[in-house]
Amino acid sequence: MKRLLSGVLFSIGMFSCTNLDENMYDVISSDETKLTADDLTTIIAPAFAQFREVYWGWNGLFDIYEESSDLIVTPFRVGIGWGDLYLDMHKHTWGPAIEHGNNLWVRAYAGINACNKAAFQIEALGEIENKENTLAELRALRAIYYYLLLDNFRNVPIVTKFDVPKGFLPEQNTGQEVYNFIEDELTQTMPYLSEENSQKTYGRVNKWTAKMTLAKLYLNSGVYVGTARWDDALAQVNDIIGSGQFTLLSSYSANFAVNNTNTPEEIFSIPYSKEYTANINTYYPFKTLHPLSAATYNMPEPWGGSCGIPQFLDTYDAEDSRRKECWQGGLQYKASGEPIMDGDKQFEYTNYMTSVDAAEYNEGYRFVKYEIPIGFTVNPDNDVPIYRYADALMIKAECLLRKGQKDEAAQIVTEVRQRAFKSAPAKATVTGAQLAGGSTYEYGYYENGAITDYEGGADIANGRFLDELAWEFVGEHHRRQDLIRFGVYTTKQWLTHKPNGDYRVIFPIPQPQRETNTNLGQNPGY
Amino acid sequence: MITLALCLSMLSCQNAFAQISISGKVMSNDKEALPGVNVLVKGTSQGTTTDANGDYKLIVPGAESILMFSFVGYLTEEVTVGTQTNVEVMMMPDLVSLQEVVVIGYGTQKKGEVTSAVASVKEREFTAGAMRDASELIKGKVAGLTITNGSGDPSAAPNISLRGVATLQGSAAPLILINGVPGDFNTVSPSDIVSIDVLKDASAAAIYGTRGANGVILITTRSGDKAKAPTLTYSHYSAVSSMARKADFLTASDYQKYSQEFTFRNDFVGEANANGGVTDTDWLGEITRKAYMQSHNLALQGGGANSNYAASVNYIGQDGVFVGSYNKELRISLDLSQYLFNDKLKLSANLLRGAQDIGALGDGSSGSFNPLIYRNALIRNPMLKIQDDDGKWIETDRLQYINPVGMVRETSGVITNNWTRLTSNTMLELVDGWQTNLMLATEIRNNYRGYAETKEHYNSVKGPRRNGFASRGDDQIKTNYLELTSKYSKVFDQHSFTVLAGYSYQYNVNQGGSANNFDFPTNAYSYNNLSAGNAMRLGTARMDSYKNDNTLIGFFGRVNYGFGDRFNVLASVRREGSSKFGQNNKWGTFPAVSGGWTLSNEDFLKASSVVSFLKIRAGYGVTGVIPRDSYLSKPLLTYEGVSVLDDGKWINGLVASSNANPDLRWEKSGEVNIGLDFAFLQNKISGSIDAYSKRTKDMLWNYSVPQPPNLYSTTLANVGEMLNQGIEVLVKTTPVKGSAFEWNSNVTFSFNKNELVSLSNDLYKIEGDYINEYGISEPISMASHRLEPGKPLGNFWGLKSVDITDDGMWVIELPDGTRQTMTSNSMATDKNSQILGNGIPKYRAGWINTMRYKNFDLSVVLSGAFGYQIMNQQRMFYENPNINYNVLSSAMDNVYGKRRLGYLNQAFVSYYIENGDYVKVENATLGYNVDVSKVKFMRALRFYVSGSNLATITGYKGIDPEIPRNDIRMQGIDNRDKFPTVRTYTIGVNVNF
Repeated sequence: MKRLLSGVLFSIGMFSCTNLDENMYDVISSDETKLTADDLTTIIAPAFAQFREVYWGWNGLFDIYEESSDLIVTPFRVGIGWGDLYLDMHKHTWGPAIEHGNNLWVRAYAGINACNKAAFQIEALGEIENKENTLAELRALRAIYYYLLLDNFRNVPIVTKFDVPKGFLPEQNTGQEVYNFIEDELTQTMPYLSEENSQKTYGRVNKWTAKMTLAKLYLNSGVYVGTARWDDALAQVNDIIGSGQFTLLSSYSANFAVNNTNTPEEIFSIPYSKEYTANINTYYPFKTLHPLSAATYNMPEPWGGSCGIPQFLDTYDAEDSRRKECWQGGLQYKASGEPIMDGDKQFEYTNYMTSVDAAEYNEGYRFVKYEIPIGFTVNPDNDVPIYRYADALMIKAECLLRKGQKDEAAQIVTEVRQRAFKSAPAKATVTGAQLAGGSTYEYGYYENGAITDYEGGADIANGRFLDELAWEFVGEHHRRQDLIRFGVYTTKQWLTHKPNGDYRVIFPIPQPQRETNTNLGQNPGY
Repeated sequence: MITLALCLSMLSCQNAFAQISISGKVMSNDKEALPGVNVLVKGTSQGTTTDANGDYKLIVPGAESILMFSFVGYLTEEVTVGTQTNVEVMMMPDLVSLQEVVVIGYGTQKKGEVTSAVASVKEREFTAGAMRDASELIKGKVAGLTITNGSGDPSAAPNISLRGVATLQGSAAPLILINGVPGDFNTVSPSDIVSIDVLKDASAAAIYGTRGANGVILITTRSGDKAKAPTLTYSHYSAVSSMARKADFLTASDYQKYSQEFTFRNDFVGEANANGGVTDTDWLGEITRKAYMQSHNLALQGGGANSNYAASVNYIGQDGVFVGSYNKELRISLDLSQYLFNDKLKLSANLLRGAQDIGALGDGSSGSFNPLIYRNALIRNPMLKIQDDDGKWIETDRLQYINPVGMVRETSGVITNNWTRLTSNTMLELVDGWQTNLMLATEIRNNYRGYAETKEHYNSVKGPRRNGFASRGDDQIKTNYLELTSKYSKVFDQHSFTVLAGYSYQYNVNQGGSANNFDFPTNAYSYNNLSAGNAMRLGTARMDSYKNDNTLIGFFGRVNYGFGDRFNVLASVRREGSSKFGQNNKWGTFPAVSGGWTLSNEDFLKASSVVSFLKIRAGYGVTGVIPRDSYLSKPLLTYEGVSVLDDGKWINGLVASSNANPDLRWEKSGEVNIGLDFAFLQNKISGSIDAYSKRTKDMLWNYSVPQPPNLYSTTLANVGEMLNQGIEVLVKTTPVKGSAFEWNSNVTFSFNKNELVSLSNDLYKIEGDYINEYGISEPISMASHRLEPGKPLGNFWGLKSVDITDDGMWVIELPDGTRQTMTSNSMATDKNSQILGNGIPKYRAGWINTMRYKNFDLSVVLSGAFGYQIMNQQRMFYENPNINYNVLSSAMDNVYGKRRLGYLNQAFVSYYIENGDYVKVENATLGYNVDVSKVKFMRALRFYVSGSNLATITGYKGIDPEIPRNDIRMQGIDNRDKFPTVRTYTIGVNVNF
């Protein structure tokens, strides 16, 4: 009996005596996952997918370019909330801890890491089809992420390898080094990139995407490294225009429609899908609209935060259809056409603001450039055009304007304006002299609907061209960069914003990054 | 045994002269026959023990002989024989017996031999009344054990912590073992429990290795006794609960009164007029009620010559004070033991089954109480009607503002839990003193949930406009246990020792899933026909499933050594490994050693009439806290959110979702404990004092890591260090002890000092070496706490308000002493903020008085906590008269005696930090034991009335200063949505057949 029992005990004991393996069921780990040549898309997918988070992640790229500018603000709304860090963006009072900065850093480097990792994995696959082209595309994509980092932080570390030794801490590079790196990478990979512009290259980096990135790098070269390179920028966009693969859509708003995939105007886009990208997608209808507007779109109740800055809304020409295509204002109606009632009066968005620290729920026009589909529940389907043909044209126009070819520039601007002035075609035409003149933006400190410390925009060189950029590209990750290039970002007042130091043309290196990587020095001024 | 008794009596025959034959029966105070009682003629070695029926026979030298009856756990009785030949004795339990057995894990120890900090609470000391779970039995009775309910939710589990908090993101809860198998306070019915023992220090808990750092609570249930007549016990109670205190918000008439002199910005009159006119609605009254509860318990136990058994059935039916919340629980237990081969082999089996239905007002596994409903009842316009003339719930366009009555009525949901546990023990004792036991156990816990909202629910008509919503979910936790222990005990001369060796294996699988759907064609399906909704077809409904497992394996050994009742030493070691740890740290070693010196058994104190018992103890041990989840050390990948569009088709990608940390291991605590056990004046005053210092290293934290080179922005690593030091005192006194009146008074006291020592090492650092915690939700969204090395956990962090301006703006005193007016919340930067108090009580005390007068008994349990502050969030959110919602009536009072607040929005300033000190009457119970000596079939009958949470003495302005402490790092927040605590009155009866 005893022997039997101890035998049983022993065998039970031995069976699993010291086995501590983890069995994985609902997760997978990179220790066990082997990828083959068939998984090529799976391997490169994270590098591209990351762009979605860079753009529409909370406090992401959109907010960095718009909310730090003179176009859009998220005020503190009485009885609702918001304010705080959103207003740091508006007032240029951010410090190294501002969430927007760290978000961009973390997300862009996640993209860069994903590019490096994918390249590492592809190298490990041995000889496969299209290897050189795929590796070149990953390098070009990585250069675009670096371009975003350069534009916002300037002095960032360049990391090009995935298999770094344990404890490796990247060294910080200068803005000039990052600039050179982006230029070299794009130039070197250019011959291997596809010249096709089709469904196959949609959402991917083709030659025209690389050229647009180079054009932007050269356009802002004066800001980045102190040397203007208008001719180089011009050469890049001329190639794009000359390729004949792109045309302007007849409708401005079609660029931002729910079904805006693979249009002839888009050059490089981030695809979104309500089914496949549900985790990261635009939240903008929710962030901007008031709950009462749910009835306009038969959508879930939004949260009522951001709106257009009244001074900007006032710059639009009355006949410019883009004002209506981008902004929702005035008396509000349900999807059925009936008025939306707000107590005993009709609900109305006013182009007015008491104060960014105590805005009423209905103050400010709402940014609705991206089409909001009726009856959507969680996410719309709109893709984000990162570069579109109108942008290439306007870069060309700006280069010509800067080079003194004002009338040629005006011709291009007029071409871009035409679809916005269908009701008054004559108004589409601008002259070179107009473009070179001042801005119509009534810069100055704004309180309770009045400008108390008037500055205006007449003194801004090529100010009208700056206005044109705002009308065409509001909400398209343009404005911060444009204001800096035109010298307005740190010199003018708008709404409650006051200039707060020239050093604010770049963001501080995010505090969490400096705490984890001691090689990172802080940007000057911070 | 009878043979032995006969032999003894025959021996005594030979020497005796005028001998008298005595026989009789020994019984306990509850009229149970007591077998095995030692009966000795005083001053001789003559004696016997009682048999299975409690009977004994003995020859004594003469009438002057004194019989001494002694038995473990009972007071020794002495009877002079005189002329009697039949001596019946009733033995009274010894409340402070040193012979009493204490459960120490994988065995027991006599109380007098214990060398570490172990607290033992026996059944007779349990609190009576309507007990939600076993934790309430011992609340206030163990120094250093903090039990906070702080919520009237009938399904809420209490927060338990021992000797402070020694982790940042692990669990602070002690390990709870029920007859050696992990469980929780709700696993068994409180009425089945015979003792609850608490291993407080590491020298005791180290034998539980990675699970021991927060202490170990050992619950022992009834198992019946061999050769004992069956007893049947029925107990019942009925109870009624209501909110102990309600938040005082403006009523319709308050509102109208104040409107004369104050302009509310919320336009409640306009809102009411636009929705059917001004009325007077008590929203909180509409969704709450007096809640009734009843419990029935039937227990049977007994034993044959070679077997014993215990069985019980327990039912609790309980309504919550919120309409729609309830808890129904049925628990059955069965315990059987069979002895074979002259007791050399013992086989036992134990079955435990519990089933619970909880009324759910919210979606998900924690959906019993929906805080949104409570919040809306508080903040809603008291002049607004509930329904319009068509019976529709009135909803307006105010943000996050929902008709609470509609939410209750248009919701249906249930959470069903059930758990089954089977345990078998095979114990072999081949040689006297050598016991080998194999325990095999398996437990399955299931949770099924269903939740539905009708098409008239707020979420259907407004908000997300889901047009009817339903969800189902289930979770299963399955655990297998194997434990093999072998123990050998031996006494020779003055030496006694016990050696224990063991192996334990625990395998746990968790799995489950959930799905929801919305946009339903009808309300008729509730949550029973999920496929009828449209949202799943349209791709907007959600579903998920999960499965994970983990293994914990331990080898352990322990040696107890005693020398001459004076010196005791205990040493133990556990070698333990878990699958959750990283590849480089799979196994850890947890040693412990402790010793005790019983001074009162030394010659110089033996004769003392003052000191009955005195022992000093000291111990050191190493324990751990295991990470909560599986797979934390692995470089995980995910497909989620990585789809890309590839030539018109969406293709899955694969991306890192965590960084590998092959060094991941347990949080490690080393604890020194020094203790003193004492008893004076024949045990009239007894107790213990313990002092400890517990240093926890390798605390887990999710560290931000540079990215690049890391793929993921955080890594879970063992870095931080924390120190807890404290003192615990237990004093038990018996001021009066007579046959008619007896009064026992026990006091527990504990002090704990916590310090976060470090958060960084060379590899991992925290931004700025501090962590701000954000415990204040929208629309304030400000930091509430700061964790900083050198400071304790629980420090509030924010602006220090000292005054109010003529405009009603806060005057803030900055850290440098200067004053500044707060113009906006953005002033709350770290530069302007300072520590505003601490949310963790430094001192806790319990005071338990029990009195017995003839057949009446009365017990009163008081508890208190001192030396801490509370962030009163109800005041922070609702004490501003200018907000968009209803406000506390104190919002109309002047701030700092000067004027009302002038802000439009709320903010966190130190004005809302209050002292939390309180003394609470936890429970008072008055019982009456009916004399049933003339009733043949009845052994005992007792009636009682009891009240819980009867009164609170405090300066705190909120509802209850005893607040839940679910969030380790943000302690001291009294959440605005906290389910208010209830006051309960109970009437009960126990019958023993």
